[in-house]
Amino acid sequence: MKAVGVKILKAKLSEYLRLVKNGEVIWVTDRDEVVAELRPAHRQPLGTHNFENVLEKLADQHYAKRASESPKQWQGFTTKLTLEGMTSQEMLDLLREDSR
Amino acid sequence: MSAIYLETSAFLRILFQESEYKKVEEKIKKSDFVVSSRLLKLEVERALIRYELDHPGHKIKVLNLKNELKNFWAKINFIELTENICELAGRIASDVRLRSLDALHTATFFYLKEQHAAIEILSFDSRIKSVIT
Repeated sequence: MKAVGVKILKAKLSEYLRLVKNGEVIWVTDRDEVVAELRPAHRQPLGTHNFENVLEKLADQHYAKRASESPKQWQGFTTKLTLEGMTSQEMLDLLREDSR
Repeated sequence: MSAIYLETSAFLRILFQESEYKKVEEKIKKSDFVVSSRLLKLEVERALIRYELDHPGHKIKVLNLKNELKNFWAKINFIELTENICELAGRIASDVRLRSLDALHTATFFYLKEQHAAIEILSFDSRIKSVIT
């Protein structure tokens, strides 16, 4: 384990962070006393979480309701509706603008 | 692991079999996760009520579709309209005339994208797409 004084750490922060990123644990000393420890963060960068876990966590907090079936099992709808005189986007625009 | 956010404009293409609805269907079937705002269900229910009012002779068809929808909703992960989502919807895209409901979908998508960068949105709404891209 390496140790570094506060002054040197401030001057060479990038260099020490690079070491930590590579797995090194660094003791930070102040007047020969160890006052802190720099160690690699638990690596789970934003955007690479397991999405299953993300949804599960949201569901635990009641922020989401989980699907109970896979979308891959979906066969499509057998009932067919067709709009007359407008497109679905026009209908949605009417609904969102609260038109009567 | 593929995940898509299903916005209402894309889902209505399927319900009314409009252009590109097959593509939307395929995207859904190929995804590991389909996610949407709770708003999707509400908007689809209101769209069907409106359709029924405009097409009174199609009550049975609408009833049948509502039954099919019950099975479909079981495949969707719904994100609730929480305080966080509403707050985000209130402050995003301040330079665009985004309607409140557009903003809620957009905010929900942004919220998910922050946690899973690979999630894609399925939308045909030009206002929403202009903010996303």
